[in-house]
Amino acid sequence: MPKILEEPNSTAKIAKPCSHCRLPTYAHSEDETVFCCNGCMGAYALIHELGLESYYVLRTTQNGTAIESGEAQCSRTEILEDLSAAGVAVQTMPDGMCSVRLAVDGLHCAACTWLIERIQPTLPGLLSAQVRMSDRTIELVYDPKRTQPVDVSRKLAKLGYSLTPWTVDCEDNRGFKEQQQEHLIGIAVATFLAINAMWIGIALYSGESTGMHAGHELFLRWVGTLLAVAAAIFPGRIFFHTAWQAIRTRTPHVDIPVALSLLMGVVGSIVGAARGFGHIYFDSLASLILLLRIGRFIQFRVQYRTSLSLDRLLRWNMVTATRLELDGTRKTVPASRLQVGDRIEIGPGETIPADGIVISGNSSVDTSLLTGETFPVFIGIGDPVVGGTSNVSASVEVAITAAGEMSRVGKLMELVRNAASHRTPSIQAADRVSKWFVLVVLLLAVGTWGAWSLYADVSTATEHTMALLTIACPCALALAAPLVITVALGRASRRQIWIRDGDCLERLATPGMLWLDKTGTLTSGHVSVLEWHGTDEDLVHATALENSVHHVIANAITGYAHQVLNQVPNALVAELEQHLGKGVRGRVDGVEVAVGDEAWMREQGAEITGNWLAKQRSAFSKNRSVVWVSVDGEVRGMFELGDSLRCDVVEALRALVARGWRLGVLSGDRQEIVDGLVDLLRGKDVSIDFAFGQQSPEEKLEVIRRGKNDRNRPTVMVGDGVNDAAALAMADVGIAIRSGSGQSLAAAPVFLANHRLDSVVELMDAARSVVRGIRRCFAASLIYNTVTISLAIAGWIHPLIAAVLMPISGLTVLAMAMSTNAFSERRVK
Amino acid sequence: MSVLYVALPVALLLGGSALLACLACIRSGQYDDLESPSVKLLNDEIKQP
Repeated sequence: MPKILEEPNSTAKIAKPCSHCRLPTYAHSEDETVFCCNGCMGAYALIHELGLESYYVLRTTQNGTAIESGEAQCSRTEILEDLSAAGVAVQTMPDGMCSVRLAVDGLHCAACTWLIERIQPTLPGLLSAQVRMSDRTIELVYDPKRTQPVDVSRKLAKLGYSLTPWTVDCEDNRGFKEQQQEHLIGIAVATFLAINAMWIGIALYSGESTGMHAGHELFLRWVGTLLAVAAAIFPGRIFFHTAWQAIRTRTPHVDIPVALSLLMGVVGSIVGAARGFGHIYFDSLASLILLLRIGRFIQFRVQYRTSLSLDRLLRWNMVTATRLELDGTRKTVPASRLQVGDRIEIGPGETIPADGIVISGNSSVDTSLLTGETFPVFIGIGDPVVGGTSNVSASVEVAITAAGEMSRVGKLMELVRNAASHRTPSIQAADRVSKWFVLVVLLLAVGTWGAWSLYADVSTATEHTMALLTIACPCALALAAPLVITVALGRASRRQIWIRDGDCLERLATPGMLWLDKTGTLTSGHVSVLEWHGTDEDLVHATALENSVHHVIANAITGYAHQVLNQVPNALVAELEQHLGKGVRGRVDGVEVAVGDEAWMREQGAEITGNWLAKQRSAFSKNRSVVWVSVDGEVRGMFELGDSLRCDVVEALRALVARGWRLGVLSGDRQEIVDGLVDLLRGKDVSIDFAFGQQSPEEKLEVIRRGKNDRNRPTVMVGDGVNDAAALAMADVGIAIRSGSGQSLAAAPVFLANHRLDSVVELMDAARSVVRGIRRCFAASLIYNTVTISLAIAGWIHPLIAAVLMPISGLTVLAMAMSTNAFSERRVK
Repeated sequence: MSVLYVALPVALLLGGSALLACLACIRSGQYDDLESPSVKLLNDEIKQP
């Protein structure tokens, strides 16, 4: 891509954004239409061809997010050719039309929705195309005789969107719809009942002060009570339901005190109505149910959204395979449908979908996700390959020996599932407090009633007890923790930190042991040139050769050249010759250039001598590998290659140490390399307590398990690959940092979609403010309850005031929860 | 007989019928997608210059 930026318009000097994607590029004049690459030119032409120019106006109406490289470019249109094989449910309507729901990848903003829906008139036979933003899906209604989803998919692929099977199965999806409807219906009914109960309450309050006909008063009381009881029976029954289940399974649950308080309200209202005088409770009961239902609905939406985003991320990682059929044709199938004995073709850059043996072709395989090893491994005919790793340089044919659950990745996933089910259930502090709170309040109520009925009469006693029960508000306590956590989760997801399990925020608040994976977490995870010994001229020569080769090391060298040299001049390469695993040679601008390892140099007749040997030794001592460059049979330069540290690592780790965390490195890579890295970090004032290399996934799991047993402080694992997945699931909190593998995402309750290590620091800070926020809410609620309950016991609080105070205390907690500054924008520099 | 005994049930019935209408809307799926309509609103505006 940078070539197009520099070459065709090398004389053009006016900086102008690309007419399609707005990346900076250059133009000859201000009003010229320019493109940064051919892809954009093609997309621009297609959009105009379809008459969709308004896209360029529309896209400014809402901010989109930049597409990360590689994310949208995967075209998997073929997978939709056989819908049943891809696991897509097609609904046939009575009139013969078919309807299907598919996931859209690459959907970012309002303009995308518009652009995609405008595809409908351009395809005959496509009756409707409706995009749903909330779960990034599209519903196609089409005439199966005239068109097929795969045609839509091909057309959309040209616009840069890809359609994939909607992995959340229909059952789940319908479940969401029903649940949301249930919530909305609950809120609607609760609102109706609460508002009506309230105005009846107002009538009674005003009647009390101005005088009112006794018959009217009784009537209003009974109607209000009926409304409140209806509120408890219809919208309020979910609280009784969950509370009853929690009691049956003997697990503490927030809903137990909530249900108890509702029950007291119901009893209070009925007693009040039956007595026909004294204080009314039905209005506060009805409005309480409304507030609780709204809270539940917000919580439900946030949780659903978080799980959807995760599902979307997992879908990007959905692996497909090209199967070679017996008749010689190629067919794209989901990896899950591969069987032992199938022959598949794996192109460069693709993920190997199952375990197998190479039957034709040579290539190299990047195993960093599975083993943590940085350098690619060369494979030839007869070599085994492991699913989950990725093919780097050339196309190979593989015969499958184990697929699905029997493959190595499948077995690792089994470990992950086991580890995840072992996660200790954390009991929220709110539950513990609320349980005691309810007990204490009940005891106090019994005491108050007993004492007042001894010293005064039964009616006074009942009145004071009711005031006590009304004013004592366990809901504020029970709501505080979930609310603060929910607010934090919502804010975090806006910052691309996906937290699936709110409990882990509480666990992260106290510093403990933090284990970090090396490859891909501390380091960038791919090979890059760390140092070049030689002249610029020779670097240009080497780059010219490597430019025509597809290989990780070649990419590292060209990338480095583009970084150091301002401009890489074009050189003519002839007689290019490539030997996999050794090196390349060819004529560049008339001189014989070779790039490769030591043996390759010797084959070219270039001898590595004195000075160079010393440089090589020093590179080896730093655990770097070396690639040589020779010109006309003479060694002229040396590249030092290695895995470079991610730029934000040192600062992030220092910040973590400053917050009291102890750090350890757990890597599948060789011990020397891990030690080298740790020494480098220690040199930069980052104290690392442990460094374990050569860890298999099982050993990593063991380290985490032992750490967990050792102390009370949390054991946290930060990792990215398949080899970390089990450890991520076993840790008190697992943090997945790169979307390299779906497995690690599935295993970890926290996923940093922004791939930044400093988000871990942010997460720890947020966890602390969440816990502080919860404590603040607790303290406020406890103080309120202690003071008001004491006053109520003493008989100083009129139940009317109690009824007003109770919702106020709830609202205060709500306001305090919302003001917790976890993940808030203010905290970001 | 006071008007209250008639007015209150009538008021509740009126409110109740509005509630039923609201429930029917929810059940018909009008509220299933709370995000896309807000986005599509913008599209319609563009179509009529």
